[in-house]
Amino acid sequence: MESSEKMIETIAPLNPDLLKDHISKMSREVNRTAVYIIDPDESLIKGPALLNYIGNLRLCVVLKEDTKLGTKKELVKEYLSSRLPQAVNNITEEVGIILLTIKGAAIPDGFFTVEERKEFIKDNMEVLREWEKFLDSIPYMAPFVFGYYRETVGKTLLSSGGIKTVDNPLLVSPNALNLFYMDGFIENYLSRVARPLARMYKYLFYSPCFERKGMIEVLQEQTTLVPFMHSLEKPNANQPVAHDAV
Amino acid sequence: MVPPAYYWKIIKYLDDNDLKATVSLTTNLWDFKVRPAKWIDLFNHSRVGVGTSFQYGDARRITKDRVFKEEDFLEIMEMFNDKIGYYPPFIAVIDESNEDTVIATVQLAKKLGVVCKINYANVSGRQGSPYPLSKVYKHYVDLIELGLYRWEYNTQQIMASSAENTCPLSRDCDVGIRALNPDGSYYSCGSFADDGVYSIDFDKEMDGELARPLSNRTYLYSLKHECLSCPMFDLCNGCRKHVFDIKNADTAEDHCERMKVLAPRIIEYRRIYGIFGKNDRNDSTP
Repeated sequence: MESSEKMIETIAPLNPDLLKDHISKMSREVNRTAVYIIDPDESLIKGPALLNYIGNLRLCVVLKEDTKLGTKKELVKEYLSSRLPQAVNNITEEVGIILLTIKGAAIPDGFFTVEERKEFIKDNMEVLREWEKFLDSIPYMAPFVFGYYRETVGKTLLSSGGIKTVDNPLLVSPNALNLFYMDGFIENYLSRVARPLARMYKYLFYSPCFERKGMIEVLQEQTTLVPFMHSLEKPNANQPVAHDAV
Repeated sequence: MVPPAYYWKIIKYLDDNDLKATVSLTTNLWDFKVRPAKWIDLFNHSRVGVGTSFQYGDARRITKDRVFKEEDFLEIMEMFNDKIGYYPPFIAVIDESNEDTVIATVQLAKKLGVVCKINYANVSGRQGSPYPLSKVYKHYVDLIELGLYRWEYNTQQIMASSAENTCPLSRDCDVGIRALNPDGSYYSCGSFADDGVYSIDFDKEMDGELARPLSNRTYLYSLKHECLSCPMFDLCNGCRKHVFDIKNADTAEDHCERMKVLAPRIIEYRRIYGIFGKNDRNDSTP
């Protein structure tokens, strides 16, 4: 975490002064310089409503370390299928660890202990598999950042079914885009993908479902993948290049 | 309406500076009907898009004694299609006086093969009280259930999961919308401009200081504190002007009670239909 972050211990709802202060500084993106350490067990707002509260206020949150196991499980499960994105750092980190665990990594205790994690994976395999498929498709989706590719090769692949379009916006929560903000996660994860899936998750990629952005913007801003692809391009002034509007 | 020369100047500026912007005009097209030659070149320009407006009821008038009727509207639409090559989309404003015409309006759009936008009346100008948002959502739900959502824009936005980014469902509207009044006063919303509240310092903004006159105000953030933990938050609080109107009219509780009745259906329709307005729940993922 950056040293400039301000940590504020609280419960939900925030007291009126905190709330007013937070709203007065809000922007389109989650303000990650103020982190609210929320105790979900002591909060008056619980379960899915707590995640709604965090998402609707665009809070950047860490849940208190000694949160009860039942509460943790409920919130992580809800996070995996929420339509509204939430910046809950330790849930995002744990979901990242879970997905790396599914790919064979051995990672010590995090928000869940190793045993708790194992049990959570067993109980929630269906939704986790959808997240896994989404992440496994990144190598096929990433070139669509480039307008030239999108309008030529990409268009042909989509229309021929070479890349399968996934229209359903609800298969994977926009919370999956939080993983792109975890240092090195995407690079680490992709190094474990043996065979990428040829899929285009249209909703997550193009629609402004995450802090008014889609994956097309998040990929460029938060990963080394797009700069890497840029470096492979031969300089050619006549060739249309990336970053053009969708 | 300002003369075509005004828009040609804008287009020239965009061309000279190689800007990607387009010019969107919303007009009742009456002057186009009377003097088509004056407008044809402008409306055919590749940077220009035209939308129009029509609603049933007596509120829209050509003269003091003559109501703008469906036959007038259809005549203009046919003329526009004949001379410009397409039927323009249209906006209809709904209030208590014409609320029973919502379905007929969307059926008219379907007949023309265009998408209309059923907007609710805000408190502005002669409109003394807001049309209740809960009633508007009842209309949108009816349109979904009648399969008419494909011809109504706001219903599509509601069903578009979390992709709301246009009025009246864009909570960040003050980043990208500006309204300039004839007296030079400057706002981030046409309706607030009518009210003359939450203005922006034009000179400061032109010097590079982006104003967010609506987003950072607690009063405009939500109808009630309880909204913050509600899954309907983005719909009930999608428009800051409506939050302002409902709070000022002290009708938030009434709105909330009615929306709670509608909420399960809206949540279910959003779950079923998703972003592209079709039932794609069967998208299997082998």
